[in-house]
Amino acid sequence: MKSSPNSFPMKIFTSKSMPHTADPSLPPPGKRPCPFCKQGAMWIDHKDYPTLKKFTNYFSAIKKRYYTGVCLRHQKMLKTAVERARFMGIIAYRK
Amino acid sequence: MPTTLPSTTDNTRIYECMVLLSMQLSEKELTQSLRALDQLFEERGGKKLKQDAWGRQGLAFPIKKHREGQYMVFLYELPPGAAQAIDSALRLEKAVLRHLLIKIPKHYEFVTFVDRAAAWEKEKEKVMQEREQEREEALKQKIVHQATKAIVTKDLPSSPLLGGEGSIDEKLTELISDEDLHL
Repeated sequence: MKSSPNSFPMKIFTSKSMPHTADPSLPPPGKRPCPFCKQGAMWIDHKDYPTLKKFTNYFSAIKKRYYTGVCLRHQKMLKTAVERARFMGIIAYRK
Repeated sequence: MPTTLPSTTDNTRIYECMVLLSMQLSEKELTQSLRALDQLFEERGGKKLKQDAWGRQGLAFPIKKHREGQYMVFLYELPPGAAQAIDSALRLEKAVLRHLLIKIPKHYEFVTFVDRAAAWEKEKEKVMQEREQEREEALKQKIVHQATKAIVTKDLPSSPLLGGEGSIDEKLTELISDEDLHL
């Protein structure tokens, strides 16, 4: 990237080089690795609030696996865990 | 630390029972209700393996007009037929706001609430430290860039466009008044 000596190096984004997220270190959505597979998780605990919170959005709906990168096997486990946590009043059904 | 559970016999299974108790109970009532729960399991051939009290917790939404409650997690070894009877008996308990009786999955690890909270705190601290490091690095880069920018502007040769030697108007009049120039 060229930048003149007098100006601050401004990034010019074209449609191709436009960043997909605020965090450029993340791979693009749809190509993210499963965080549970990385850990080798065999099951997801419904009592584990910090973990479940990461995979729910502001309205406490489960985030799409396209964005989180969770594989289908773990997404199904996550769904069961979130439903159980909601029943017990750990997570809200809807904010 | 998570602990793995001993393998059960063919006639029994390990169940996890999570119970949400009311906060309005006095200490005496609480011990009574816990004893009643123990009795309920023992009557049906249950054997307690683990117990974990979460203490006072806020609820995500009001349950039976309660905004706070105390969670209790039990691990019981039960004969398979007893689970349904216990489930229906727990519904009749007055002190119990909600309960969840599930068969534990494979590779289950029992983690206490205190351990999980400590691990969460550690993770939070780690993330905060990483963010701080990133911020410091960004600040360093900015300072270096500003320093290099200052050096480059100093070394630039003085040009008439920047107002180094006379104004642009003077230069233009000089050029136009040149006799050798045939326009």
